[in-house]
Amino acid sequence: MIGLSHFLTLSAILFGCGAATILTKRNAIGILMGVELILNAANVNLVAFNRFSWAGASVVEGAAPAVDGLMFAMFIIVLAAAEAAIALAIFLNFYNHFATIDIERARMLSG
Amino acid sequence: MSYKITLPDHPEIPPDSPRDFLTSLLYANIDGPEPTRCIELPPSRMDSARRRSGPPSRSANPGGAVGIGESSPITQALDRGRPRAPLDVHERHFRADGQVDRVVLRRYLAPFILWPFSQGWVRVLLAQQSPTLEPVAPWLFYLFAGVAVLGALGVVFSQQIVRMAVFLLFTLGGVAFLYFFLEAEFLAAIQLIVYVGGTLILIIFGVMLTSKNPFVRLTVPVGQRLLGWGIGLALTLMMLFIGVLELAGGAPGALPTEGGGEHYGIADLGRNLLGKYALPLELAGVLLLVVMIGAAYIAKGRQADLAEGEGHS
Repeated sequence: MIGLSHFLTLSAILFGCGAATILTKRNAIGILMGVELILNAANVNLVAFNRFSWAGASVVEGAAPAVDGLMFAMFIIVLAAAEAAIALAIFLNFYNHFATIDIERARMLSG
Repeated sequence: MSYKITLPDHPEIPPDSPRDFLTSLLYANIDGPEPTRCIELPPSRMDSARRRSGPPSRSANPGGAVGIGESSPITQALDRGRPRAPLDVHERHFRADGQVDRVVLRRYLAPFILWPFSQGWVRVLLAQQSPTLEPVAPWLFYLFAGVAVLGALGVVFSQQIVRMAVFLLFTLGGVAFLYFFLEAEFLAAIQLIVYVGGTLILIIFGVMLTSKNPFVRLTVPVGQRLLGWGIGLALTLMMLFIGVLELAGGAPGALPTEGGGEHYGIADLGRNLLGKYALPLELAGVLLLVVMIGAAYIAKGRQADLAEGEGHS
């Protein structure tokens, strides 16, 4: 039986992979991919909790179903898209300045 | 404005051809010329079609599975008074001038197109009307979770940025399918459209724009790499033990495996977006506008810097 713990485990693995990606990549876009992985892990958690949080609780008659987790996940997707756009714009600017995408070279971003 | 529905009187069309409401709308004229109701076939194909043994056997029950071909009272009233003659099965569906009635396509092709959606496992896969996760086979979860986890591991251990993007595609796709299991079909669609279709494409464009060689390797020393992997593994284990097992009270199965309550619909999402989450929705819109302008401005860079960079190079 697939339950909440399965999804939480998957989310934990995705989060760990995202953190390891952030820590071990020198390519700035690779780090961005790690951030996307972590955001996806958070999304899986939110949707899974939204799905399973009805269990046991007596649902009020006539009340609208709870979709708060889905709302959070949708806003996270929107924010991830915005964050990716801004990050890539910054990386493009960085590449124009330094002719590389290596973050080891990003020690003097201010000038 | 009044729409006058006129059914052109084609003697070639069999008078007993069923017309549902959509078909009658298709044939409706809005005070204009008659619409073409036939699809051309080249004469050679027409001959072969004539020599065919007959239409598919599903035609015997045109209105059974998908509800196509049922005549409404309106069309029955319109059909009333027309001569009804028993026609040969070929004459019924192929006109004398080598054209196939569109009704034939609708009656014979639509069942084949719609057949997969009438199957139970597809409906379970699409998570329609499934109050619990019970109909979903566990191996489906393990399949897509395995795809997602392997993709994430590929992102971690791959050293080429393009391969990382492809592995990230697998992860995002697998997570989108898992949203189906969580009865979040809309979110699965959003995940596929925005993440896979938008963000990932953006990332790939970023890869292409920021490297002369897309397969360039930017590696970190082995020690730092092992340290990073170790930290990631430690975070995973910490979340597993502290999060999952503590939440489960140390006993496997204490976490719910089944949700109650009624299934929400898209309408509930819309009501929440425009009611409870109206302010965040507006803020997200403003944020997207700001991001669009800001990203364009930042990516363009200052003109002086660009000129200076060109002068250096």
